[in-house]
Amino acid sequence: MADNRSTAPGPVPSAGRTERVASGAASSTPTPSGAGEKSRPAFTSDHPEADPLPPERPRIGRSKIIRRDMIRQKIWEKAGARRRLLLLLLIILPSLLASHVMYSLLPARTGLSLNLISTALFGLLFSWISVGFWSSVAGVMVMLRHYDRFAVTLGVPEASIPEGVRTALLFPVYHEDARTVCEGIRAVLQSLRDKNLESFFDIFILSDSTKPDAWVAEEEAWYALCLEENCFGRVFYRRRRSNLKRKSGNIADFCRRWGADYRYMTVFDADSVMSGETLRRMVLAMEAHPEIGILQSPPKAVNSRSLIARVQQFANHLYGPIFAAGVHYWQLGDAQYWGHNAIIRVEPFMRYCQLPKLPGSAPLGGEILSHDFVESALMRRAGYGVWLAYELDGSYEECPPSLIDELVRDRRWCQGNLQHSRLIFTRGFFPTHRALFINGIMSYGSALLWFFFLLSSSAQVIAELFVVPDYFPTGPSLFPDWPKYFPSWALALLGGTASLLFFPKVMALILVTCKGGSRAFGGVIRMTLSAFGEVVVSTFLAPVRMLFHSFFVISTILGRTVGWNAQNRGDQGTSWGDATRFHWWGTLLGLVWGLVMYRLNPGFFLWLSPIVVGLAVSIPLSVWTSRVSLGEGARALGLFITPVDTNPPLELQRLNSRLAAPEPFCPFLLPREQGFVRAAVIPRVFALHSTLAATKRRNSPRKDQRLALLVEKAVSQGPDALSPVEKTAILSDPATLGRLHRQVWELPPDKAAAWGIR
Amino acid sequence: MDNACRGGHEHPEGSRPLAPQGDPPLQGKACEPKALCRDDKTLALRARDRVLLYTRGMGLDPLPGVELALESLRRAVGDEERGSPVLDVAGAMQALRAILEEHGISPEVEAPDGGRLVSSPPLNRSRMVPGPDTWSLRARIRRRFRRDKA
Repeated sequence: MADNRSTAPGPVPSAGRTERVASGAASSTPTPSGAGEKSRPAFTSDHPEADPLPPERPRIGRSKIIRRDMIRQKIWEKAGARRRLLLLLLIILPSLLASHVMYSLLPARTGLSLNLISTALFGLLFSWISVGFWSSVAGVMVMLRHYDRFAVTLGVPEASIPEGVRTALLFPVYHEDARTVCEGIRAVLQSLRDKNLESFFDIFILSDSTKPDAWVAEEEAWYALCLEENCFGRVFYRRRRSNLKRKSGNIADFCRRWGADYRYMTVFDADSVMSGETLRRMVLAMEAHPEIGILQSPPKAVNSRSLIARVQQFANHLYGPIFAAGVHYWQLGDAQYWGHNAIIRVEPFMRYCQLPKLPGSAPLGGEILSHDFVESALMRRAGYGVWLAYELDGSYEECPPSLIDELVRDRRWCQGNLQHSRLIFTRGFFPTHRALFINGIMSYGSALLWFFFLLSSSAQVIAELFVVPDYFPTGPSLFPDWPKYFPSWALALLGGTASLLFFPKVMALILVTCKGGSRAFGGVIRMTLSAFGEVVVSTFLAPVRMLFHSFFVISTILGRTVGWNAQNRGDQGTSWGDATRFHWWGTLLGLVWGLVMYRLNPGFFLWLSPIVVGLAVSIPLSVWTSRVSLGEGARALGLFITPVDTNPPLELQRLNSRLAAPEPFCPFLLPREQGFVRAAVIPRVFALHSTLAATKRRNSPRKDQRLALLVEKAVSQGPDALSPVEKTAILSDPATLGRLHRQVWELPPDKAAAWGIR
Repeated sequence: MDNACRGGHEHPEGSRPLAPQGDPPLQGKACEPKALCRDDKTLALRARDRVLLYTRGMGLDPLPGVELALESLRRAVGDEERGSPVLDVAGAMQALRAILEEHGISPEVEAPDGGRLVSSPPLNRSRMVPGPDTWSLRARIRRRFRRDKA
C-alpha cells in the first residue's frame, strides 16, 4: 500500500526506515573521505561501520527522524546551491567577455543598433552553449572521481524488495503498433522472471486509442501475450473511453482507479524497455530514500536502423553518460522528470502532482502538453526530491527513425515547453525549476535566436557594402580614423566558440578510450571516425533543425496549435514526395540566401556555407538519413557502433528475436490494422472483444434503433461505409456487434468478400 | 471430406477432382446418388468452406471442429422447415450456430480460472485533483493586493 504520510508537506519516513534509523545506522553529517578510502555517502541511511554516532535506542521519537531527514536534505540543497552559483559564474563571466570581444570586432560603420543586436544575440547564444559545455566538464569530473556521494542508487544495501511493496509498470499507448508494445512488455516481464521479481510488479497497458482498429488490435495483442506467457492477473489492459488530458490524464486515470494499490509506479513509453535488475535497484533506492518523489533513469537509445537514428544512438551512448553525470552534478534533487523510464512515488504524486488546466486557449493555454517537467516541479514543491540516477544502466528507448519524425515530435515539445512560460511564476516552485522551465524554453528559443543572429550578421554584411565609411567621424582632421581589424581576436573568439561545441565530444572520446570502453564502440579508430561522422551529419542537420524550431516557436507564439499525433516508430523511410512537401521552403531559403551572400561577399559566404548548404540540401538529406540501407551499411563498415550492438542486453535480444519472428498463420486474410473487421468476422476476436466490452448498461430504444441502422448499413455497403465513430459505436455494444457478426457470416460470397470472407 | 459425395457424380468438364481418392462418403440425403446442378454444387461448396472457416476461426481442436462443421452441413440439408434441400451458406451457418448453442459453446472467452475474462483488476478508487490556481503572476499580485487591503 502507499506510504503513510502526514498531511503536512514534506517527507516523512516510512515505518521500515524508522527501524533502520533506530538501529543506529544513520549519520546526519557527511564524513570526509580519507586517503584511499571512500567516504560514506551523505545520502544513504545504512552504514553502521562508518556511523560516528552511538547506536540509537528504539524509543527515538518521530520528530528526530524528521529532523535527520531534513538535515540530510539540507546537505544536498546546500551543495546544489553552491554548484549552481558556480555554474552561473562560469556561464555569465565568459559570456560577458566573449560579447565584449564580439562587439569590438564588429565594424562601427554598420550602425550601433545593429551591432548591439548582434552582440546581444551572440551573448545569449554563447551562454546557452556554455551550459552544455560546463555540464560536460562536470560530468567528466564526476566520472573520473569514480565516486559520487550524491549518486542515489550507490550505497543502497543489496536486499530483496520488502514484502508488500508493489510497483505498477505503466505503458501508455496511443495508436501504437500493439504487437511491438506487447513484445516490449514481454521482454520486461521475462527479465523480471529471471530475477524472481515478478510478484512485486504489475503491468498495465493504458490505452488512449480512439481508432476502433487500434482498440481491437490492442486487445488481441494483450490476450495473446497473456496466453503465451501465462500472465493473466499480472498484465492488464485498460482503454479509456475519452482521452482527456492525453498522457498525463491517462496516468491520472490509472492513479484514480488503482493508484492506492501501489507504492510506486514506473511510466514507460511505448518503445521503452527496462531490465528487471534496473527496476529492482530503483525500487530499493526509493525504499532507502523516502524523500525521493521521482527517480529518473537515463534511457539509452537502441534498435536504431536508419542513418539518422544510428547517428543519434551513437551520440547518446558516447556523450550521454557524461552529460547525464554533469546534469546530475548541478541539479541533484532538483532534477527533471523526462516523462518515461522513471519510478514515481504514487501517494505524493496523486496528492500534489495533478496538472492544472491553464486558462485561455491553446497553444499557450489549455491542457499542458509537456506534463513531465511540471510534475517534477510540483513534486519538488511538495518537498520530495526529483533525482537523476545517471549511474543506472538497463533503461532503453528508441530514436525517431527520420528527420521528419523528429521534427513532428519537436513541434509538440516546443509547444509544451513554451507553455511553461505560464508557469514560471507559480507559487512555491523552487528557483531551480523555474530556471529549468526557462532552459526548456531556450531549447527551442535558442534556434530562433540563432536564426536572428545569422540574419543580423547577413544584414551587417549587406550594410557594409552600402554604407560609405566615415574616416573623419569627429569632423575635419589631418588624421583619418582608419577602421581597425583584429583577426587574432576573431580567431580566438571562433576558437572559443568551437571549443564549447566540440570539446565535450573530444573529452568523451578521451574518457571512453582511457576507461577501455572503445572496444564497445568498434575500437578507437572506428569510434573516432564515427564521432567525426556524427559531427558532419549534425552540422548539416543543424540549420534544418534551426529553421524548423524557429518556425515552431513563431507559430506557437502566434497562436497556431498542434495535435498530439502518434509518432511513426517504424523504419519506413521518408519518401521524396514527403521530403519535398516538408522541406521545399527551407531549400528555397538556403538557395536564395546563399546566392545573395555569394554575390555580395564571397568571404562571408564561406562562413555561412555550412548553414545555407545544409538548408539547400535538406530534401535529399531528409531522405538519405531516413534510409535503413545507409544505416545498416554504416554499421557493416563498423561506424556508429554502440555497446548495445557489440554486446546486446538479454532483454533486447529477446525483443528483437520476437519481432523478427513471423506471425503465426491465420486463415483469415485480414491484417491486424483492420481491427474492426477482425472483430466482426473472426470468431475468436469477436468472442474476445465481446467479453471485454461486456457491460451491464442497457441502451435506450433510440440508441438500439440507431445501432440497428448501423448494422444494416455495414451489411449492405461493407465496412468501408462506416465512419470511425460508427465503428466505435458498434464495438462498444457487444449485442450489436454480435448481430453484425451473425449477419456477415450469412452473407453471400460477393458481399462477404468485402469482409474478407471467401 | 471435400468431395465425399463423389460416388456417382460427374466432374464438370475441365475441372480437377475436389478431393483425394478414398474419402468415405457422407451419410444421409446429401449423398444420395443424385446429380446436383452446377449452381447448387457451387453453393454447397461455399457453405462447406464457410462453416469450416468459422470452426477454424473459433480456435477449436481439429477433429471436434470438423465434426461440428459436418453436422451443421447435414442439418442444413436436412432442414425441411427451410423448404429447400439446397445447401447454402446462410442455412449452413444458422445450423452451425444452433449446434454450437446445443453443445454449450459460448461466444464468451473464459479466464484461466474458469471465471469471466476481465482485462483489469478490481477498482480501488481514490482522488487526484489539481490544487488551487497558483501559477498566474497576475492572480498572485491580485491576491497580495487583496490581502494587503484587508
